[in-house]
Amino acid sequence: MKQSQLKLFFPFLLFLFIFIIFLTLEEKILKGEYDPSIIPSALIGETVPEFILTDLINENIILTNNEMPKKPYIINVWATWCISCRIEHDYLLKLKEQNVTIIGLNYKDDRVKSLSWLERLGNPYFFNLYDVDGIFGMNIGVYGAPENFFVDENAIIRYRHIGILNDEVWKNKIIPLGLDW
Amino acid sequence: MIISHKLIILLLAFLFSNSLLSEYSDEILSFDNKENRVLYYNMIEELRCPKCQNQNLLDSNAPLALDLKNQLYILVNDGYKRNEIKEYMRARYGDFILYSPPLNFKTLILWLLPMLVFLISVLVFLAKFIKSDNHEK
Repeated sequence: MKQSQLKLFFPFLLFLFIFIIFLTLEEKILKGEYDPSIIPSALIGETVPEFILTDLINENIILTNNEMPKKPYIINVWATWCISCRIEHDYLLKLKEQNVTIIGLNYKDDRVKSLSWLERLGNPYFFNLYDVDGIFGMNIGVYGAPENFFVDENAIIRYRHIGILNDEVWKNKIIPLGLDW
Repeated sequence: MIISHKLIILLLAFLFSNSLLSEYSDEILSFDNKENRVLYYNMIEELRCPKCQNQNLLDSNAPLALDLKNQLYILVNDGYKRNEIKEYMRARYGDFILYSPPLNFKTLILWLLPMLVFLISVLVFLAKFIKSDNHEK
């Protein structure tokens, strides 16, 4: 009799168990420790995909992998339609002052609008790849903006950050990579 | 009785309207052969949109989903096979883009849990069955 009464509580205990799992997950999401919308990059440890694109500022300049710096650099995916990119922009200018090389990937954007953005807000970029169809974006696995790829001196992608790059991300995620900017 | 008939017809109508919409709501695409068409329509249901989490390429209206559909169309017409397409997408967007996850350490629980639950329920059921059988004797 006693044992069968205990059995009645089994569904409740199961429910409680699942409830606690969901609660801890929710807690992590609220604290910002876990973001289900972030998907890991498939290109970590791979070389930067090949591309042939025009320069944003001068459309007569053709840029390929050969033009990329031979030292560590950031590929910053941005667009004028991206509100978070506007917030991120000031930090990119700050990084430029610290001699960090930033290559812009102008992603599915309009050349005229992008140029006026750079004129108005300042240009933190070494140069900008004009990827109007998002083909290079697709090859490097971009699914939104801003995204930042951290590339080492051998053109290997070491880390990708989804979302706005700031001091906190730099300290916690980028410095541990040990790249010589 | 009449009402229930009507209801069934209504439900059937919903059932078919959905599949019709999904096949033909997009622009009409031309393919070299029927296999390519089937492959394309299978793949847009099997590939997940990276931007919008729980939608496949067919359901999603995100610009990225459109880009991926265009790219898929190009790949299919270039003669890519099913596995080659999956590998192409996986190389860019990781396992996430595949709705059928591959079996590896990270996804082990996904694959084993249903079997485990099934096994346990069979055991519980058998235990009960044997018990009540003994009781009758």
